[in-house]
Amino acid sequence: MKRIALYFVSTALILVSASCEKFLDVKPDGSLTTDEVIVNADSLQMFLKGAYSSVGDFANGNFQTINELLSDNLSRPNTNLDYREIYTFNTLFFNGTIGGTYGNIYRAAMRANFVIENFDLADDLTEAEARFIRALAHFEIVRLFAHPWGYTSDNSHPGIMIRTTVDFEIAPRNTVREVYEDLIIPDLIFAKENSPASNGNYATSFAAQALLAKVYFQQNRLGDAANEAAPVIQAFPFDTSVAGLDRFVFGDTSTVVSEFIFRIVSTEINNTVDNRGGTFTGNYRSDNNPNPELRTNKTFLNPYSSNADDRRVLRFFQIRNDGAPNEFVAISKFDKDFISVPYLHTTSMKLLLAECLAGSDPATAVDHLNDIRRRAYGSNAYDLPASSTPTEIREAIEFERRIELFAEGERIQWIKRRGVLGEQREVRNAPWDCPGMILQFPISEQTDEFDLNPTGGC
Amino acid sequence: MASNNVKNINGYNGSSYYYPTIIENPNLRWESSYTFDAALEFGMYDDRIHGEIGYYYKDTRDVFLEVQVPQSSGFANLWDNVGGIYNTGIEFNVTTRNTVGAFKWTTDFNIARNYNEITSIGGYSEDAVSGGTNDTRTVLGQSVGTNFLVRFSHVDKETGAPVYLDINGNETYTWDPVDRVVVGNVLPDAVGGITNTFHYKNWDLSCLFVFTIGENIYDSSSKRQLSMVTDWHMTRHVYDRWTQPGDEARYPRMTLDPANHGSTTPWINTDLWLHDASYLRLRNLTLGYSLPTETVRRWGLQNIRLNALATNILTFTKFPGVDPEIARDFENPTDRNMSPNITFLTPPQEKTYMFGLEVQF
Repeated sequence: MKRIALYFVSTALILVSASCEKFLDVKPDGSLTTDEVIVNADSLQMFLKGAYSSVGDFANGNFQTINELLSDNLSRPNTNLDYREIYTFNTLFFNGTIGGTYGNIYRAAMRANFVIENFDLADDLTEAEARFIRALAHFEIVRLFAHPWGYTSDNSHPGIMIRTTVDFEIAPRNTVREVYEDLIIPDLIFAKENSPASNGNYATSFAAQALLAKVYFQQNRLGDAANEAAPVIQAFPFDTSVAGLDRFVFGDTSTVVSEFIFRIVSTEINNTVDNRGGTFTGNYRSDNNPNPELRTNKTFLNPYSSNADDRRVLRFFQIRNDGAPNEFVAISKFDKDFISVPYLHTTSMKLLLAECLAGSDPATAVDHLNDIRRRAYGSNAYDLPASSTPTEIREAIEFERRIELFAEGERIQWIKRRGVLGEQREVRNAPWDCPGMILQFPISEQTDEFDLNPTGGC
Repeated sequence: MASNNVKNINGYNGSSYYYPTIIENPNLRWESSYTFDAALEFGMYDDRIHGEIGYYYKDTRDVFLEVQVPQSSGFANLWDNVGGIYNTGIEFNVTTRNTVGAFKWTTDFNIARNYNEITSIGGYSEDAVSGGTNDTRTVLGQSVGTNFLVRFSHVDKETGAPVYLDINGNETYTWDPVDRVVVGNVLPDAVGGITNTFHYKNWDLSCLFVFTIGENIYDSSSKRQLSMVTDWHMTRHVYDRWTQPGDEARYPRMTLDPANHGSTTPWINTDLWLHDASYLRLRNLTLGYSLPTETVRRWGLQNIRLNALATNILTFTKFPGVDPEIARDFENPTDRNMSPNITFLTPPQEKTYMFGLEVQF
């Protein structure tokens, strides 16, 4: 080597430290800070309405459809792969539909918590409604992501995370007992005792009572459930007219409005519709779609269609491609542009109450059931005899529940509740308590403290 | 509560409402970096050979990143100081004037090796800061954008079903994302280029090759183009699939039903789609001719040069996709930072041929 010239050697130790601190405090465009907004009880009411809107983001058919896919009411989804994963009881933590619904439900809880945390500006009424929404959210999540109440004798099996504050702290899952007894039930009792009896399209004391009845029913606390359901049915009379069969309507009709204990409402203002039932109409609607995503089959329909007087069959179901390999049963119940969603309604309360009373007061149970039958068949020709045994009454209730509450997501939770009581219940050969009967959490939940569910399979 | 941001929406039940949009993070602070650079520049043989060798090390702490928070919080994302990362590398370039005089030949060569490693992710889960579409992950002790995939073992000769490896390395017919592990090399062993330039009389010729050694690319679109039939076209590589018992095929049997590939979803990410993306590419080839100076000046001009330029006309690679030198159309800034070696129907770079006339007045 002849010559090496060392032209340049440099070393540098540079510390880039904090600067422009205010950049970190930049407020996003179009937003206000809470200090600017929360000034009085009225502004807090605005946040409460935001929580209601969140309920409309998941009770628009999303959580109902996920429940329904786990049940024996539907056929295999037409194309939706996320739905098929649910249908085959093997959900993975990347399922976007599940993740989106999970996030939407907890968002409602967060918005409710925001109201509750700022309670010093509010009154009992505002807090009661917020707690109703928080309980509703937790109830629907725990039923989808955890095995049912009664799965273990002390209900110590993993539930979901209870959220009562607005933060992003990570924490372990609460047990199912804790979710029910520490949050859902106390919240609903508070809501029942502090909500108004009348509140437009927002939650009332009766709504809290109706939801509490459903919670107790899920727990198989039949006496408690009956005590809550009975006054609600009195306050929201059962619609005996044939129009009462169709509770998925847009706007308030004069016939079915009496059954709406709590609805997710779609509204039209200045020719613009805020549609809160889109997942129902999007998935089921069949009058303008030869291949609706969700459909059922003759196995479901035949027990009902064998009775030519069943108005529900004629109104809500149509056999397509009869006898051909691609035969299916289309749902016409949602053949509408827009619908509001009856989350709590008298028909479901009557079915619930009838089942609660089947053992203790069979005569009243039969009366409630026959109300539903007479509306369905147009006469008393198919009344259940007053002398029916509790078992016969329960079987008749199951028969009516399945078609009356079709698509509402109740079927699978009912199956699980009966499974807890010791019945051998299965869906597509999968036992009610197999791993795939509950959903996998989205991957965002996995932390050192939060254990996901085992990957499904049944 | 102090300063969650809120929005006012026209909206539910005919009534406007407010809702919190962002969860406040009062602890947010700027990230800090500690950087060390050293370089040695040299020349020898009367500068016939000269070049530079450099080294750098950058340690970044309190990395500022938008992370995914548990959805049970009611929020989706949060800006936070997530953890630490260091970048280090060595870079070398050299220029040699191989011949001088009437025939001039110059060679420029450069090569670099860069490495980064995540040293901390704070209290977050690795998936929370991953980016990508379920094919990469932020893993402590690994590089940014490390591929995190279920391992593919082979195709079952009798059934055509794919055989995977579970997290313990045991063969399984079931694809389950809980069996994902770190695979592949998101960072190349080396990248570089070499340019040879020749001048002879009025002619000049320049030739630039670029190369990457040892990098993997994850071809995310393959899962829909190689035997799992959805609504996409297959690629020609699907001919190498299992069709009958006894076949030794690279790809599993063609199917419409993910269950035949051991899954309930067709979005089956495995390292079957992770490819060696080493390549050598002829980036530029330029041939030029300058008219004689006396002739040009006679016309009152300074210079006239004709040239022909070809770009990306030759690539040597084993990568089966369309272009080993790509990155995908990222979905968001996190994706861009955290998921760098994924291709998803990304268009290849074009080959170009240009002819030019330069006139200097």
